[in-house]
Amino acid sequence: MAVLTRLLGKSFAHIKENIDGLVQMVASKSGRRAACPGPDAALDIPIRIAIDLRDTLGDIIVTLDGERIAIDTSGFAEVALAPDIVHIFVAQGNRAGTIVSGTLACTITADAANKPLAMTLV
Amino acid sequence: MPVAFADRGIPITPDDIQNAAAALGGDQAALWSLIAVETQGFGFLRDRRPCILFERHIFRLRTGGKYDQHYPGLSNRNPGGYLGGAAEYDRLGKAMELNEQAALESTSWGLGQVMGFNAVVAGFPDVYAMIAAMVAGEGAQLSATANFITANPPLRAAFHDHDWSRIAFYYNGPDYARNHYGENLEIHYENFSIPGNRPKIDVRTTQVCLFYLDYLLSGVDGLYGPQTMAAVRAFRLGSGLPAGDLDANVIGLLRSDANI
Repeated sequence: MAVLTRLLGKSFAHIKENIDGLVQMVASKSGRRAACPGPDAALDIPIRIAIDLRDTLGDIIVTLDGERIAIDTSGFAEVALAPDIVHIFVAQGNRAGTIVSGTLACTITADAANKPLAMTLV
Repeated sequence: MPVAFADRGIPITPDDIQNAAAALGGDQAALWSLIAVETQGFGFLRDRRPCILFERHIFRLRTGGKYDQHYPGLSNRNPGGYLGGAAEYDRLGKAMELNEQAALESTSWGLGQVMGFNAVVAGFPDVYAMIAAMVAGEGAQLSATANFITANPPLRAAFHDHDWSRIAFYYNGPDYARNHYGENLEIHYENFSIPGNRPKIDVRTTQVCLFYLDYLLSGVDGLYGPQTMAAVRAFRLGSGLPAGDLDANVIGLLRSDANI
């Protein structure tokens, strides 16, 4: 029973996370875009994200809250995020002829400056 | 109460290294390479204050940018303005006059250069407790580093995978490549992968004493080389001992004189 509860709990948490992410993504697209410059954009919190590029071919497309961001040749990017709201990273690439992708939702607090994040594409 | 930045400055022990390396899967070579690159091998200045770096872009974030205009050297959108060594305490001191807690939180401390705002993640109730521990000895500096790495799974995974460029990026940001940070980590790692090449704790402790007592002019690397030998000879001479090399008597005297 405990195992079942744990599994269900995980599953529900996962579903909730996805729904929350989608809600936020919709909100972003409707104008509440966290990453776009606003009055306090200068005080956004820098974070460091590394995309695992192993075995991927060609260009990899990475977006933050629906807008494309640049990554370096190692798959690294430092971006500044507005604190206390959900942000969505989406990455897509090509591995051996198959499209691979990844999504990462994160909420950053003021104490998360330079926080390391990682994304794997599957 | 004023914040004290200097105490005895106790160097690490073998247990400190072993415990901290456990956070990296027992990988002592990786830990030593991080120490070598972050603080050139030792967590204290000669005056026994921890090695620090004041980060003006973090101070800016923590004070809402209100000091940008009048104090660009202390509060700035761009990282930099570093003076290095003891002069970093001048920058920290000036920032503390503006906002003490934010200044302490905007500074990286000790062997692993853990930022003050990471105090809780690093295992302390607040930045003041963290600094008190950092000032006391390298053991706390190292455990704070291990806690910080453990609390950040992407960083820990990068250590596990020996992905030096990723570690460098996480630690230093986009400039990591220009500063050859990843290459330096890798070179040190390859060197320290041979256990005989790693710093010897007993030699290191001796060097720390000589360093604090102003006999060792070079850095602390845990290797008994010509500069350490010369420092030992100078100490013997200064202490009225007959010419000779390092022995148990000298080690005892050094530790006593240096209060280590």
